[in-house]
Amino acid sequence: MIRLDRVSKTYPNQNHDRPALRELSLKIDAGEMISVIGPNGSGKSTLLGLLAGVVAPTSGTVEGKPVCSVVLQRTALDPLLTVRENAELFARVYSVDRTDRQARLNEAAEITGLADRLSDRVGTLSGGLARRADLLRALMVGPELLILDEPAAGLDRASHRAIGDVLDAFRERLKIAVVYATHDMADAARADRVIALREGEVVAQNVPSVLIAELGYEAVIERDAGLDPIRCSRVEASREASRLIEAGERCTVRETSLEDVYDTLIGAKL
Amino acid sequence: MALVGREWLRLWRQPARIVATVGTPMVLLIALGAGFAGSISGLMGVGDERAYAAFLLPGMMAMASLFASIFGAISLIEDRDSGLLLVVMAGPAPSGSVVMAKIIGIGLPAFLQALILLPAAWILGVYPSLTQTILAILATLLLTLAIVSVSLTLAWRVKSTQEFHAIMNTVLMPMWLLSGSFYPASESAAVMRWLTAINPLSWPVEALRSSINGLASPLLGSWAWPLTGVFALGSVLMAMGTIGLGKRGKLS
Repeated sequence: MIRLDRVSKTYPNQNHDRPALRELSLKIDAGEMISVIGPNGSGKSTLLGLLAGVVAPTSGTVEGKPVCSVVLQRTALDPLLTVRENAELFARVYSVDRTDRQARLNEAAEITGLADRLSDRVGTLSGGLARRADLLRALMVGPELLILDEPAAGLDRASHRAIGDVLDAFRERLKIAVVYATHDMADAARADRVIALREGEVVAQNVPSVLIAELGYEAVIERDAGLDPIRCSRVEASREASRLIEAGERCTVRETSLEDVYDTLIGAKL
Repeated sequence: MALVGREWLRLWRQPARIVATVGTPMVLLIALGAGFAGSISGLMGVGDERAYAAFLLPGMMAMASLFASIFGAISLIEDRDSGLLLVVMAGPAPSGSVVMAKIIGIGLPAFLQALILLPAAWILGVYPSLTQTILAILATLLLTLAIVSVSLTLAWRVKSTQEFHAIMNTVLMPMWLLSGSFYPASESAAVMRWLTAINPLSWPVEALRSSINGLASPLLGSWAWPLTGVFALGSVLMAMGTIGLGKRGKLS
């Protein structure tokens, strides 16, 4: 659907040019869900901007131009307009047929759980509802590719969970490709593929379970503050944890997760 | 058209903007016109005490257009900061049409808010003919196109609404004050005459005034209309070039 081939992006700076992405190659297929992880300044937003077509690459090529919709960290809606008016505005900007608009609005309102809030002005909605309204708006244009920049950032747990459910519904019901940047590893693990960025370079790109398996250990024993965690297989973890407890130490055993992948590959503790 | 309709809906839901835009020039027109009623006469072909108010009218129409444009242009900064503009520009609509939608969406209400003041000409003893009225409407349209485009260009270049207010106070308001709205520039000191003549906002104000009273501009003569056209066209092209072509760098 869209392919980036050896794409680099450098932002001009007064003192020195700042490379945001270096020689990045990526292919996204229809219906695929991809999460992009990495610390601030690693190039996540630049990558999303390239995919959306609002950032021009300094070098390399971008092939394919799917209909895409962008959802940012901030709510890109007019607060003076109602949810319905905002949705229809963007549908018209994207030349969506009048007959399709109502059907799309009904479906998007159902998925986002906003069917009874369509007549509310966006400025009166809570942060979580406004973010869902933004997702509804994104669906109105019938995107083939949905790009989300930290869609759940700054939301409470319930709203965060609701956004996650909406993303799952996108994949299961609408079969559209979704690319999203996130700092939340549980969110990142929902994806079919995770792209880990560090200083503008891809340090890993694979299915979450494969990335976790490649670490070479299945469990982590977290120990009292100041002591390094122990990384080992599940069988060893059980045995080692028993030994530690017998020795009077407090510890907890957990499954290896994408957070460990992040810590190992990117080297920054979340 | 969707983006144009959105601007109008926003305006409709902020009635204070309409009141402020039309109310302030009206208050100034009445206060200054009445205040100087006994001191100034013989302007605009009006022999009685309404002469200065009649002279002020084109400048007050420019003020209404300027205020409406400034309020409207602030929405560009808000749209850019909220990401709404990025989302729109990521769509299939050419960036030029997005800019034109902004110009029309903000410009048409601004034009109408300025035009509301035109009937005051008859009350103030100036009786423009049909042709003069049509020319006055055209001059108001060109004036508004220019002001909206300049306001949008400046709004695009600043980083915040606070900075835009600073620009408004240091650029747009002085332009209006030096446009000959308050004083007959042709009879002022040489330096003021020159400053007024080279101020682009004077051009449509002079064209508007000469349309209303049917007399040639004493400051610009027959140049008032061509200069007004150049100002309007140049401003629109400047806005489209600055915002449309600059969208990628500024939005990302």
